[in-house]
Amino acid sequence: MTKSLYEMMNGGFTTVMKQHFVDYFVGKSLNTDYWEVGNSSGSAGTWAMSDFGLCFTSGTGTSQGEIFFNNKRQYDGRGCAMIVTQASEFDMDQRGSGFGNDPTVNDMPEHLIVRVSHAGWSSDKSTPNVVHFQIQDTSQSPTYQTLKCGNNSSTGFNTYKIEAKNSSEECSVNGVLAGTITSPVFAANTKLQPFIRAKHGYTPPIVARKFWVKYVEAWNT
Amino acid sequence: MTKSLHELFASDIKPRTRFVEHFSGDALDTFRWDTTLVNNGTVAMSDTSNGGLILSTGTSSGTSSAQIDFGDKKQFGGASSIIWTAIHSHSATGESYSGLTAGSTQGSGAQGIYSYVNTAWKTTNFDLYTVGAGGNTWTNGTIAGLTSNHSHKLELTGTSGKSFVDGALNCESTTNLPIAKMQPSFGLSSTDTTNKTINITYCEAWEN
Repeated sequence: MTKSLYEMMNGGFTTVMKQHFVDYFVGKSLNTDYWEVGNSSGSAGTWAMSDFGLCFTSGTGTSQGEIFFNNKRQYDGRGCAMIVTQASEFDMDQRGSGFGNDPTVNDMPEHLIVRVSHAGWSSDKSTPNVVHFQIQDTSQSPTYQTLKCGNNSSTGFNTYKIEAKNSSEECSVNGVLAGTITSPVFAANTKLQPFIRAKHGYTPPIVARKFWVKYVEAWNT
Repeated sequence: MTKSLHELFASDIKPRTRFVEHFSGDALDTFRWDTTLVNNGTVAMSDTSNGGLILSTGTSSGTSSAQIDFGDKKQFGGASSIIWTAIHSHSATGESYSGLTAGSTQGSGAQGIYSYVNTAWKTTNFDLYTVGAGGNTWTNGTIAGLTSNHSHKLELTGTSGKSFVDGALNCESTTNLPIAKMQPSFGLSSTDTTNKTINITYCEAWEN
């Protein structure tokens, strides 16, 4: 009798496993039953499967594109986690991954995101190439918190994990805890969806840039 | 070196048919699943935490139903198992069959193994229904909580069909076990105007 994946992930059958999602981004094309493709700001980019997973090619100039669950928000803001493996062609673009309430909105009222590369999104623009970790919930006080994790945001493939808990949020880079935020935390019963975003920010290059993602796993803890 | 899924499951035997579905994302994966909807029944991904996929009968008068399966691609034999997690809104005045079926339409009496919910006709527990080549067997379940969230497992060994709920044995049948090829299937129907729903957040089926 062979085992089930359920048992291995959940430690048995006695508790009911919560919502979970995995995508390896392999195959002919993006599974658009799972993912919606959007362009929330600036010029439109394109998403297509490549030799290195799913590739986002930005528009030129300011550009912000994302994939998300089309506002099917099945993840709990006080008990969810996400792992993403991603890379970028050029360190002036920004790639961000995490949970949000509505990625079609440029500045989502509720989001938890790990952001890599140039810090144009940060107030400290003189310190590029640092992994940033941010939570925002406009119903809370303070409304947001941004943490510079101290890790270099290299352009190669790295694995990032974020986790939202009852009283804190954590960010890990390649399996090592990189930062913890304790305030704010999401309001109770905040529902979120995974999203992957690539952006040319405040000082955009004049040519298209590429960004790759080859693994996403999201789950309620 | 990372392990393969095959090594994790059982490295000493040939890989066998298996699939895993998390029911998360924008919409149901229609490359895998087929839907059958009658009289305004619906199937949609939920916009709620741990909501998964929602099968709904709707509120139309007359018989309404919603069903998902593999479009009659029957890749699982009489020694297979299926696990799923689900919460039903109904206990009576609607019925649901969840499990492995050789048929195309829920409640058709096709060979299969099913967890059945309808207190108006059967018990207030998760009842087991097995259908073989020569007849069928209803087995009363022992575990209640029809409208609570549970993990379910149906296990066919060739000599028995067992129903587990949250890891505990619910009931067992040793007669009229299916021998035909089967597909995973979840179906819900109603004959009144109260909407009935099942939220499913996980499904895994495999040949033992």
